Amino acid sequence: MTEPPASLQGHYAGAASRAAAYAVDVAVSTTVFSVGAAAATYLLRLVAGIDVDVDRGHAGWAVGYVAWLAVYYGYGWAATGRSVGGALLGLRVTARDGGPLDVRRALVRVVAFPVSFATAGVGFLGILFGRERRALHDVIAGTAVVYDWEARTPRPWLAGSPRGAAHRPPP
Amino acid sequence: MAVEARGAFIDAARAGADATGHVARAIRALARLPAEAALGTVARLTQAVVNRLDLDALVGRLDVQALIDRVDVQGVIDRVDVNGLVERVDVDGLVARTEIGELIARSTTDVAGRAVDSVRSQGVGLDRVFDRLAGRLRPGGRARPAGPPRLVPPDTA
Repeated sequence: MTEPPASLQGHYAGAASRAAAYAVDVAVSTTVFSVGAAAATYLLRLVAGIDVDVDRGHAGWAVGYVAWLAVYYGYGWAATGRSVGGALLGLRVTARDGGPLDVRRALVRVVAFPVSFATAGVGFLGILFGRERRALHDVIAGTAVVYDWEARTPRPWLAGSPRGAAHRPPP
Repeated sequence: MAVEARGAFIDAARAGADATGHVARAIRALARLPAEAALGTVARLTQAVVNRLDLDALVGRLDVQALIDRVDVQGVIDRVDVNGLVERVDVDGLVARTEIGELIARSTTDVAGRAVDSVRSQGVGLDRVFDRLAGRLRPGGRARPAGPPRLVPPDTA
């Protein structure tokens, strides 16, 4: 019987896991913002009689949304090193050397996060090709993203993968 | 010989008649007794007869299997009021004793935990695939550290 693969806990997280975590974060943060905004406009109308402009194209909503994202990511990273998506996918943001993330680095990372997007995604290529799998905002903030659970490589599902021979059943 | 047979027959008939007479006299004597006394006498007589019976031998001569085969089990079951029986079962008490709420909570947690682990594992698998693809495209192709130095020893690749 083959030995179980070694744990990947503490290893640099890859592009797929980080992308999935980001997708979860977008879904959660957007949902919470939408529900919160709807509740706030309803309460304002009910309690103070103020009719808030619900045109989502209004600049105020964009500013509010960006502010909310800064709180969402900044609080998660500063408090635990994890966002909601990161916690679900078992990822944690650390200092570059693997030490715990301090508040300063977390805030710098929040500010630098949009820079990776502003470079038309080029800022994320470091996760695939970089030596330490760090995106541009990780380099700016001095952070890294690692697996924070007993991650193990699952049974390979692509033909020809190097571990396939080890896991393929004998004829 | 025929005279002797005729005589034996007449003697047997007389004995039978005498026995019948005895039984008749006993019945008339019982009938004259008060009802309670009569019943008591009958009970004592019955007990005396039963005491002299060899019940083991009697049961041994019974064909139990044939008796069982003659029992209409379906008929017995049809006469059982199942709904009435179930209504008498204290289901709430049973549920309270099995702590089924805790069982459900624990199994739900287990299922959720396994679902999360499954999602994470697939992510790790895809990461490894992209890593291998990127490794072929990366210039130089030097081995990369597996993780930050404080979390993963530098010689781990």
